[in-house]
This record gives sequence, C-alpha cells and structure tokens, in this order.
Amino acid sequence: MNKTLFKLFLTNLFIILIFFFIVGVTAGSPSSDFLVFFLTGFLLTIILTLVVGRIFLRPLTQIKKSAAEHLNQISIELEHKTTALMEDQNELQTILSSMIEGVIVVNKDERIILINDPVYEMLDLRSQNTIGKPCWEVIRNDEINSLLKEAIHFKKSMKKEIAIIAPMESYFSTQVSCVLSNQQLSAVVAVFHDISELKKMARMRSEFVANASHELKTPLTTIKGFVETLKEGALNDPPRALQFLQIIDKHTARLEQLVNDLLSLSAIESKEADFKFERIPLETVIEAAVNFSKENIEKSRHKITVNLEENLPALFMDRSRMEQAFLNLLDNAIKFTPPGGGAIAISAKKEDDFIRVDVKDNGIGIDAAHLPRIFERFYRVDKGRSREMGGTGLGLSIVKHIVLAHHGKVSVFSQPQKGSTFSIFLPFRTPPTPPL
Amino acid sequence: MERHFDEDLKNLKEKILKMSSLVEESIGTSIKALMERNAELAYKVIKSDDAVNMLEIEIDDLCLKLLALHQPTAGDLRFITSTMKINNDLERIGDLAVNIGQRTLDLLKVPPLKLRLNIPKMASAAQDMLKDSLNAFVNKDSKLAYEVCKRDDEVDDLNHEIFMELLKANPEDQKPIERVIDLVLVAKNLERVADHSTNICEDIIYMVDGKIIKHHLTD
Repeated sequence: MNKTLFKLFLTNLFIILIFFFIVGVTAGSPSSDFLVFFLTGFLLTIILTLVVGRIFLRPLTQIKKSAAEHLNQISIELEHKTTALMEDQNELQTILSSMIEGVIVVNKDERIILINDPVYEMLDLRSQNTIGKPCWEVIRNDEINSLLKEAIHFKKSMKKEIAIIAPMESYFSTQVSCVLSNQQLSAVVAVFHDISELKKMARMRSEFVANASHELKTPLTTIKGFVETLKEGALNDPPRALQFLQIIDKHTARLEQLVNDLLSLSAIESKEADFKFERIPLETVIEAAVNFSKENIEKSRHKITVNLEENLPALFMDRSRMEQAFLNLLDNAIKFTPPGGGAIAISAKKEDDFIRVDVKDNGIGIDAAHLPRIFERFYRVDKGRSREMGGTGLGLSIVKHIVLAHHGKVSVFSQPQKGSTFSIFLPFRTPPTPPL
Repeated sequence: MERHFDEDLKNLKEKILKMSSLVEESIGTSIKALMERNAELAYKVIKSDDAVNMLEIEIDDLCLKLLALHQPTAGDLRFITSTMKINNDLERIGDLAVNIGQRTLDLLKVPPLKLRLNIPKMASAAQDMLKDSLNAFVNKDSKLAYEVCKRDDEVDDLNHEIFMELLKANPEDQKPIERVIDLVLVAKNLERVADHSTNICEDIIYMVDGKIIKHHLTD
C-alpha cells in the first residue's frame, strides 16, 4: 500500500507541477510566483493523494487481499479434490486389476473406455492400445461384439454364456449392464466370469454317470440274456447249461469287482475311507504287491526286477491301500505288455522331499494325447482291449486318490510301442493327516 | 455427404473385421475338430459357413456402393479395393475350414493312421499366419505383413514333408487308401490357408504403403 501511495503521490506531484508551470508560463507570471505554485502544487498533491488513497486504494487493496486469499483457498481445495480423484482412480484400477472377472466398459459409440487386465488373457486380445478403439476392432469374437451392440441398441441389460472354441476352449458367463443417465445410455458394462472349470466338471460328471451306467449294464445284460436262455430250455442241456453258468459267473465277478472298485473309489474321494496310517518300511509294501502279482507275471512269461535304494526311510502309510495302489500299477504293466519277454521294473529312491517309486514296463505304451486323462475314472485308451482283459477302468483313478490321500503325487511318462513308467511320489518329511 | 462416406467406411471396416473374426473362429474350430477327432465341432464349422458367405456378399455390395457414390481417391480408394480382395480371400479361407471339417468327418469313419505326421505343426503355423495377417490389417502394420509373407515357405515345406510321408505309407498296413487321400487334402487345405493369408498381407502392404509386392514384384 505504501509503495502504491508513494507512486501515486509522485505521479500526482508531477502532473500538478507541470500543470502549474504551464499555467504560470502561459499567464506570464514572475519567477517568484513559481515557488508559490510549487508549494501549492505540493500541498494539493498531498491532499489529493491522501483522498484517493483513502477512498480508492484501501478498498482496492482489501479486495486484492481478499481475492488472493480466496484464490489460495480454491487452489488448495482443487489440489485436495485432484488428489482425492487420483486416489479414487488408483483404487478403481487396483480393484479392477485384482478382480478375477474381466470387465469392459464401452460407451454408446461402441468405443472402449475402460478395460481391466484379466480381459486380455480371457479374450486373447492382441493389442494393448484398446482405450478409445471400437470394441469390434479389439475383440475378435462376433458373439461378444453382437451382445454389446444389442445392449447399446436396446438399452437392455442381458446375460449370456459365451463359448470360445479356439485357441483354448473356454466358457464365460457374460453379464452386460446398461449405465443410464436421465434415461439416456451413457455406457455399457460387460463382466466376464470364467466358468470353464465348472463346465469341465459338469461334463466329467455326465461322462462318469454315462460310463458307470454302461459298465454296469454290460455284464447285467449278458447275465440276463444267459439266464433267459437257461429258462427257455438250455437247462435241459447240461454241458451247455454249465458253459452258460460259467459265463454268468464270470460276468457276476466282473460286476462285483466293478461295484467294489466304485465303492472303494467313492470312499477314498469322500474321505470316508478308514485309513490306518502307521510308519512302515516301503520295501515291505512293494514286496507284498510283487508277491501277489507273481502268478500273473509267470503266466504272462514276463520278467520282473525290483531295485530299491538302500536305507529308505519308513513312511506313514496305510499298508493295505498302498499295496492296492502298487498292485493296480503292476496289474496294468502285466496286462499291457504283450506276453513273453516283457520286462517290468520297480524301483524306489529318494528325490528331494519325496520317495519316488517307478513302475516301468516295455509294453504297448500310451499316446501323448491320452496322458492328461489317463487317471480319470473309466477313461480307457483302447476300450475293447481293456474290457477284454477284465479291467474296470477305475484302477488308475484309485491309484491317484490313494496317493493323494497320502499327500503324494502321481505321474506318467509313456511313448507308444516303447512302454510306460508310472511314478508315485510319497513325502517322507511330514506325516500325512489321516482323512477325517 | 462426407459424413455419410465416413459412416459407410466405418460400417465397411466393422463388417470386414466381423468376417475376419468368423473365419478365424472357423479355422480354429476345424483344426481342433481334426486334432481331437470331434464330429460335433466339424458339423459346427460346416453349418457356420452360411454366415460367412452372406457377409461376403454384403461387403462386396458396400464396397461397390462406396466406389459408385463417393468416387474415393488415394488412401480411401486403396482401402476399399484392398478390402474387396481381402473379403474374397477370407471367404475362401472359410471354405477351406469347411473342407477340413468334411475331411475330419470322413477320417472319423476309420481308425487313425499309425503315422506321426506334422499336421499339428502345419495347422498351428497356418493359423498363426492368418491371425497375424488380420492383426496387420487392424493395426495397418505393413512390417508385420511383410513378416507373415516370409513364413509361407515354412508351411509349403511342411506340406511337402507330409505328402512324402503319406506316399511312403504301406497300403497293406494303412488300408483303406481314402484315409491317406483325406490327410493329403487336409494338408493341402492348410497350405491354401497360408497362401490366402499371404494374399491378405500383400493387399495390406498395398493399402498402407501403396506398394505392389504380388507375384514377387518388388521395388
């Protein structure tokens, strides 16, 4: 304020002195009058400056001060709001990125305005620059694009199951919701939920029921057929009757085996099985399984070798269940190696925190395409051959679940015509908790 | 008038991208049907060809309308003429997918050949070429288009390898002979998919850079 007043005073003094000088010169006043003019001008300047300062400058300065304070406040509030907006934005991005579901938001012009990370993998999006682009340029799936278009056109939320066949088979439950503002559509939000696993489970359950029914019906049909034949007169032909009864007996045994396997598997899977865990030397379990299979091995004229590493630690196992697992593997090795000259080898050694047991054969082997499903219930590489050999299709599934109950894992390596190696890994550091 | 032209151009782009999605899906499904010996998927591919054919006609009509009504020049003219050609190539790829589906159904009637053929590798290479050619179209990426053109030789070599392998197949072990012929045709169809993908890339290079590289014509 003082600087301004001083500047004003000088300006006023200058103007007034010039004025009086001009007046004095014009009027032809004597030199002595100029001093009077100067003093008068000086006084006038002071009065004028004070008046102007009081009436105009002080309020102006107050207004300026007030305005500056307001601007500062606005600036601070703006900063707070910007920070809050950025935090909200970051929070939204974090939430969207950590979601399992995929989210795409599209405006009424079908351009993408928001997209989260999971969508890129779910829909195999190749371009990373997606924001602002039309959805049909980015998403190369006609079904999804049509769904979004329909939602925008009819301003209607909708739900649909989308199937993507290639490159990876996947299924998505897609929910599309409209964002309305004053009855006007502003955006459409699509949420993709991956239900591929659910679909796979449903298909497996359906296949299991179909397979189980088929497996049970086949021997029943045969039994029923031969019983009817006996009732219709074959009983009167003793040799024939005996032959039919032997067939009925064989299929009854098969049915019984199948039901036992199903019950066994069901019990293991539902953790109702009565596992009796105790610390047992692995060698004793393997030897028991080999001894049990000796007759079948000799019948098929195969050779068997057992190679167990020395000083293997004793493991917490259910003896009978683990014997069953090794028996099933040996049984398969015998069945799927052509008779005469087959070589079956069982070996065990320590590998990291596990004891690894391999059951290896040089039989017909398994094609790579079947390996991912080989441990599934009723899954068979060659249905005809497997049934002919008396298999129920549940042996490997039982092995897998027994090993899982022991907190272990099972794997297979195989090549067609070069044999297979089934490996069981049993942990030896932590005793397994018995299934409840 | 200009607004209508832009609107029609956008419509054209949308339709050609829709067609590319349908065709890409068709080829992927037909190859999956072949690898998994899946009849359901093979039938699906055959049924889906109608939509592709209808779209081809719509795109051709739209291109002619744009040319007639708006007399475009320079970049727009190259875009429209290239799109007409790409449209044709895509429709042919759709037909090849149907052929593969039909061969799959025939192959399902007989047990699989006990031969290790490189068909999965060839199918994967052809599919990747198609995918990348369509990426190049969407992104107007002539560099990617050039790269795709170079990959055609690999697919041709695989086709030749499979053909020679099938020629050696012992007819006494591999009866009936139709199985061998079906597999030769499948390999041929995959080779044609790669050829059409190369054609698409040549059209993209013309569209983006104004250069003609067809028939090995270079600057």
